[in-house]
Amino acid sequence: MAVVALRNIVKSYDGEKVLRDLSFQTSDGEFFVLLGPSGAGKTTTLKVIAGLEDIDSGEVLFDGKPMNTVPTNQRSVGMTFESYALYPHFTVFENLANSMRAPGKKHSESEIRERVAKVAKMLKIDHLLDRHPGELSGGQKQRASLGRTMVREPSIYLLDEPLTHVDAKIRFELRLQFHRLEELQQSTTIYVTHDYVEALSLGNRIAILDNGEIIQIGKPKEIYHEPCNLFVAHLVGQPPINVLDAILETDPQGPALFIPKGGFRISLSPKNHKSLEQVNAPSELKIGIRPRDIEILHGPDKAMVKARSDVFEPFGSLGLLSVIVNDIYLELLVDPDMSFEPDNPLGLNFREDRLLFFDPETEMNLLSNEG
Amino acid sequence: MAEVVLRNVKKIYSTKKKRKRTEVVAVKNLNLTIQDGEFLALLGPSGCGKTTTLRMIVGLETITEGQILIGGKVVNNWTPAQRNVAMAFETYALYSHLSVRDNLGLCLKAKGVAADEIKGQVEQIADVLRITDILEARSSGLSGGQQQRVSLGRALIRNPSVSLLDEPLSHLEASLRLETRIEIKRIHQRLKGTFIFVTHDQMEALALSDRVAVMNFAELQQVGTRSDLYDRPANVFVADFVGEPPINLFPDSAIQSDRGELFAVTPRGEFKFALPPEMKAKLESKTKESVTIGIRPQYINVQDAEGRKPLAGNVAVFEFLGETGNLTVTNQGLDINVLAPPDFHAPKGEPIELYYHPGKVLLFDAEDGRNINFE
Repeated sequence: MAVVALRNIVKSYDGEKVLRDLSFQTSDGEFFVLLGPSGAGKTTTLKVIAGLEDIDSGEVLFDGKPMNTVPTNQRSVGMTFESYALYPHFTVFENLANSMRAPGKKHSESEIRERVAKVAKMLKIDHLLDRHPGELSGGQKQRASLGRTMVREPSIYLLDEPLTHVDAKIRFELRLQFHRLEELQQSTTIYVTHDYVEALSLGNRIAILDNGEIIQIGKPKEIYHEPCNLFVAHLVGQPPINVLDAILETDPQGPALFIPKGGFRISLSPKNHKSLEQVNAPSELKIGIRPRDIEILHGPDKAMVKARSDVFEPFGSLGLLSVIVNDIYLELLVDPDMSFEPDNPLGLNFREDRLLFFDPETEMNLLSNEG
Repeated sequence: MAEVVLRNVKKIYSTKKKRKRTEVVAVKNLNLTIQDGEFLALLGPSGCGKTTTLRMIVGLETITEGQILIGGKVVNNWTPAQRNVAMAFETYALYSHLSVRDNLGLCLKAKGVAADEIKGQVEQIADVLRITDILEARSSGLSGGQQQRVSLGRALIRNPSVSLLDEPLSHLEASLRLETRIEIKRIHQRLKGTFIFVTHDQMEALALSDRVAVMNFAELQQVGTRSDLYDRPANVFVADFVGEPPINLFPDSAIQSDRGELFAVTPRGEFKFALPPEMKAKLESKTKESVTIGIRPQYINVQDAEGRKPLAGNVAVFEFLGETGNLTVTNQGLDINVLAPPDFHAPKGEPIELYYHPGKVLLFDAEDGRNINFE
């Protein structure tokens, strides 16, 4: 168990900054997720924590103790790599045991055998111990790779995109397994991914990283419902959030948002109107609405927005409907058992309480606490 | 536009090694009709024969046995050009030194079509694909999604009777994949041609096509719509391969009768599913054998409703996934996954009651994996 803190980390490759003044602190035993697009600096951050990369400036602290000069093998971190990093000529048993036989570690053979067996059982790879990595499926390799890290009993786990190369079904299974592994749930774990689903599922908190900078840190529901800017709103959620240009109007009938390209109005509740006034919101702004928060109404006459159906894709638990309103396309998530013919009229209703408001210049969320 | 019919199509690859002949059956007696204007997906794991099937339709692969008919004519011995089918590949296969316009117009030029007619056709297809603004750009500078659309455009511009798409989305990143997927469906709705699409991704297959043909081990498992594959899967393979989150499967389960009512019960009695009365006749011969129970997470709820029956367990994991939630409930070590609303909340370990509709419980034969409900 440990608290990991990064303070003002700057790191550059060939004069180009890849981490710019990066700071965050985990709590003890936290499952902390770094989420961002490729090239954001996620893996570099993990390597800095592990001591595999030098930094230009800043401090890495474990439980308040500076680690900058402590070599990797004395840091009590265990890291798994995206590429599994298993020895192809070793059996699964040898791969696991090998990480306990590293120089400077003295474990008796019986101790090694006992611990490998225990970890293999936990990860459900105990029946594969005699196989070579070449004889394993992607999901099994990933488990073996995690096993290599676990037998060392590190106080900090660093996991780099562990589910990227396995297919959807195995990813689902392994995600559930990560939730239930006591070792991961009780130790401090820093988990890197580009997949928002993994981040929402696994993280106690999520740090959004872009271009070497932290954009937002928050609990999964905060990140999803209160993104601090458009970038975060876009990164989390599939299909992505609908973003529209809007004009704030104060009609005699009450405040409303006019969507010029769509040619429709959304009336604003007094609550949202007041909040927007309090932050001096510009009259031209961008609004965001998640595909789940646009409802289809029966009888298009009474609807707020009149649209035409375009493409409907039914999946297992949800259906994705694309609709056209004048010049804009909107994406909706609906019941997959519904059916839609192309180019039919539909009435839509926006859930006003779920609207997000962004500044068109800075793209910051106008109503988020951090904004 | 044309109907495509496969009649007992078989493909055997044979190799000779040290005078020993080895034969690999890549496609086994395939019978399939793709209607005029239909969008059909060929779905299956790698090595199931789906790409070989596609290549036989195009004419890039000989047919060992059987017949392929396009528009009512047997095309076994026709060249790809004679068949008038177009194929867009997994890799885009564009000429990198040519502009998008030239890439699109190339095959028309080769056919000797007049320059101003080529111009008209290129601009028309560019409009459908929404690539008008990049017509003058070199194809090497395009994003993956744009290249994919150009590649598709090049296939479609020939006005083929059948368009074949080989995993066109697999190299695109998630958000582009979604965008291009919708675009392909939009194009099909506009052009109304016959489309055959090969994929290993069941989400893509369901999203795009009118019907899905599921293949495994060189054999066709089932052809059907989304609701056929979801609610009436032919066997355990189809049930398990199609569906996200995956279907709950409980092998080695038993059928029990209790005061005239029928139940399917997991091996140690963890979960007991009531069965609809109409199952009785189908099960009479099976009561002593074991079965595999299948039930989709979508058909189990945390809220009761009319006609539903309860199951009990304890909360193991709840995942907030943004648009949906996944709840895993455990009973004596056996897990069941349930689709839950994203705002669901229950502490780990808490007892919970789940509700399912008996009509949605699937039963599979323990021996051959066949769906007993719909045999």
